[in-house]
Amino acid sequence: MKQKIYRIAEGMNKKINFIVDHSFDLEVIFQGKNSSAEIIGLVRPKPHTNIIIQTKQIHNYPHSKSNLLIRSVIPEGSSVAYIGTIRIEKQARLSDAYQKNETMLLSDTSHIHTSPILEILNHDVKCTHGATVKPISEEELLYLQSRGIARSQAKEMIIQGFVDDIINK
Amino acid sequence: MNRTLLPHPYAFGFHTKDVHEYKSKKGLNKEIVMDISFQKTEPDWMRSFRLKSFDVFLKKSMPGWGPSLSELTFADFYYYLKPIVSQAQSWSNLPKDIKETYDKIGIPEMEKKYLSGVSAQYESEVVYKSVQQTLTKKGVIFSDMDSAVREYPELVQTYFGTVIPTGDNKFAALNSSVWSGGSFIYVPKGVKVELPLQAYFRINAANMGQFERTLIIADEGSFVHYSEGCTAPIYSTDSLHSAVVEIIVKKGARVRYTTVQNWSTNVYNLVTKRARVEEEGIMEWVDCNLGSKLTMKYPSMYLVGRKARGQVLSIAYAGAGQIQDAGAKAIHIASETTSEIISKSIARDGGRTSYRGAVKIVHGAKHAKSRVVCDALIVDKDSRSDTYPMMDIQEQTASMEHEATVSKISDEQLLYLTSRGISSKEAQSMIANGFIEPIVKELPLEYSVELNRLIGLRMEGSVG
Repeated sequence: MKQKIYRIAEGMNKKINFIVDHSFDLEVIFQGKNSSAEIIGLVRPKPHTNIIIQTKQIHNYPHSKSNLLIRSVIPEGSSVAYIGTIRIEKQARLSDAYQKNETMLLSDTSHIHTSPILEILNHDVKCTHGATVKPISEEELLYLQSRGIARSQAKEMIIQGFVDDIINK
Repeated sequence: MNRTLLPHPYAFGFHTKDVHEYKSKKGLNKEIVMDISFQKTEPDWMRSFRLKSFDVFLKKSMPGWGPSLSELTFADFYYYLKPIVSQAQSWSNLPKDIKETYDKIGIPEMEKKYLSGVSAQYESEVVYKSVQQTLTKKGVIFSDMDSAVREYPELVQTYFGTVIPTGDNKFAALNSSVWSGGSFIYVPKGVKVELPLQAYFRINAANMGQFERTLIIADEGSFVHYSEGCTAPIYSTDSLHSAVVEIIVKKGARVRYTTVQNWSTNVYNLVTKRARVEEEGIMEWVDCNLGSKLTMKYPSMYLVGRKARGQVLSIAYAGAGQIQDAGAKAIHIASETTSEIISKSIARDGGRTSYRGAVKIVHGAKHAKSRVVCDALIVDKDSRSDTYPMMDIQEQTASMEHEATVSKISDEQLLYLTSRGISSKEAQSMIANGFIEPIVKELPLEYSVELNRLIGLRMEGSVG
């Protein structure tokens, strides 16, 4: 498993982007006041592989801010286990942490296991996480098909949109 | 856990003198399990079920997750107490001592107004039971579990232990070997029970464990609402409460199960609750946890039939020295099943709340849908709130949404209220009650009144 640790110093803002097809472990530690990070990740395993993605947003200092978005696109025979933790330590008041995990299952044999964890030890903070798993929208497919695009191609376009959207960020 | 924080004043923290005609020896072994069965004059099948369960209990290890249970010593508890009267059919026949206890909770008045049947559990045995004639006429069975084993052996044997097998977890195994009391409900096909059926539970002896066992069977197209509320006297030693509740929701039936748990803050409340929901059936859990030292409870629904639905509405309040580890589980096994879990928690005065939940959609559960929303309120700097959900999705056509937010009482809201002459404490209480309002309004009237009052009192610091 590949691992990366970022320590964000006082007043610093860090943009962290990654695209992975393998297991990956990311830790972002806020080491000073007013530190912040934007984390955007695309998880796209090859068919028939099982991978584990872990992220940690650890707020040690007041006024630290984190924003995480991870999208997973899971092909046939593959599984992703995602464990995403936000921890706000007792002294990290007025911190603001956000985490979002969105998944698209491409096949009948795709599998996602997602655990977004919050550990909040200070009351004066803002903290939200969300996780969604959604099938390819039948309405969007119909719309594209009604414009003469073949169903299989329409599916590809929707998946590409889900991926591009995050790459462009 | 910081023991100096315990116990704190508690609204219903009174207890009357113990009246027992039989009390098992302290601790737990095979002889005690046999003796419990003997005292209850049970059929052989139940005795052997208990003994098998006891073996499973010994083999099972403690949960390897969640809050620490290291202070819990099984040898310190009494596992069975039998009150001086075994069954009383009417209020006037109850012993004075027991009646006083209930008067303080207000059972008779509530019964007159709202209840269609009361099965009040005084320690290990149900001593007071009144089922309205209309229920009997409709063929509804509402009795205590002990009597049901003797009187409806076929029904009980068919379903007992089928939703929560003995080996499910250590505490389910413990309950299966020493269970006592609890309710048994059978609602025949197409019968709708209009008023909620209620049972009041009380623990009234130091070091006394309570192990009720409840089984509800809602036959096809039927409806029943069962509610339980717990208030317990306060003690200096820890008490253990470990119930098992099994519910079978047949095709097109609907069951609502409401709990207001308000044990005193020395009680370990480790409960396994699960419903099996068949085609187009609906299961609704409304679960409010206010009391106890440590609660671990995750009402579950196994959605096994097409279009089965499940809902959990959960409220948790943790004050000084309390841990509320509450949540829900939804397992989607069939197509077009839906589940919704709404959780609201408040942590105050160093209390700790955790949402722990699981959603599983298996391969083949086409177009299953699940939605989870958790909101946590942390009132002060000493408190803590955690969220530990797990979502396991193996079906391409399924959709799942989870959202959790942790926040404090907003300064704007507080300022708005205090600027209108409301004291800061009162304002906090109002905001907290507003926060849980969407769930409270789903409760039967007497519960919602009690809940609002309790939350109010605690937020204002007059209690707890």
